[in-house]
Amino acid sequence: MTLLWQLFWAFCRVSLFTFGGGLAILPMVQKEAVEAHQWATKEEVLDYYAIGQFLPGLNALNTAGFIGLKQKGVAGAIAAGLGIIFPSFVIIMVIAVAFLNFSDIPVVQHAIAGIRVAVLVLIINIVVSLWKVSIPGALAFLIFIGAIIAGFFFSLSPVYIILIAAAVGICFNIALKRGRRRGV
Amino acid sequence: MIFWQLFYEFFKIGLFAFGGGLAALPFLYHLSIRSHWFDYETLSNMVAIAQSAPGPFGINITTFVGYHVAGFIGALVAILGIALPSLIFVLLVAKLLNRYQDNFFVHSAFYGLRPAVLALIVLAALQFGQTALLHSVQEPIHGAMQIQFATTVLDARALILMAALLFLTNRFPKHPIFYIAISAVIGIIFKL
Repeated sequence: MTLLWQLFWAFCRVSLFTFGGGLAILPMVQKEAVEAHQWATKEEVLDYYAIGQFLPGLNALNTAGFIGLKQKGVAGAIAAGLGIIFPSFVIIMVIAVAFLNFSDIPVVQHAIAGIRVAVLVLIINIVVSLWKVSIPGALAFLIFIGAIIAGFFFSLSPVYIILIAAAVGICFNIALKRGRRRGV
Repeated sequence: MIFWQLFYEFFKIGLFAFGGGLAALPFLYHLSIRSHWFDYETLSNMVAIAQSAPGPFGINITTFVGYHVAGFIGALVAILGIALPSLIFVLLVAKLLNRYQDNFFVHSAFYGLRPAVLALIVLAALQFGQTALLHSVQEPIHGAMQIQFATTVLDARALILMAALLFLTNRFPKHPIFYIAISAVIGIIFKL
């Protein structure tokens, strides 16, 4: 199977088992792109998610696009994007034609309630597994706590949180460089 | 021509809605007022379906609205419209990233950015947890008091399922599909 097909199918699976928007896609991307195919590292997926907050467009498409692009250029990005779109498209078509009351069906509501809990747990697991790579030291931990406080208590927009954190990272490393130079 | 208009509207959403599908919602509500393609209630209905059907929300709602406005071709055109800006921006940003990957400033920025993004994921998970763990679907609700009650009570069964899944997913790491499917079945059996 060529790489383009692999990209397409992997992201078909991602799409088929993503319920909801935004970060609901992360567990499947981690599984398919990081663990099953080694197309990206954990950190890279995290970086794509961060960049996605700044980019217009659908996050799912952007993440798929970045990973596809890295593997096989523009064709790879398109293959991965089509993979994300295809199952979603087919299922919505079927629902639109046949089951307009889809979300009112009790079985669907119960299944979704169960799936939400599963997705929550999968995301908690992702946070735990990303902890080491994204929080290597005390300063990173402080940034983490600061971002939680800014977001939770002050409802600061993610865009500002990311910008400020990036600025802190730059200042810290400049200070570190100077300190080292002086130390030598 | 309707297809061209549809493409244009969704291209605009793709260009200006930052951060994913839910960010597109205000644009769509605005569109319902301007265009008379669909009314507020129809859109709300489509949103509910897009959230409970498999697939990322943004793709689902785009397909649905496109189909509603102009049939199968309409859905294709809407998807193309919303996906095109994504593709263009990904290409541009990836190029820049490649060039400046080893740059001191980019490196340092990512050092600060990663813990912040993890915090954002935790925050989003907290919100997600609210819908997953609080009683939402209840008997027909009469009166404001009961609504208040229904939305503030933790669902014990959902909590138990969460605890069980936390244990199982770490003890027996399997493909997420496995646990998602099992949880759907459990949800149906226990009428979560």
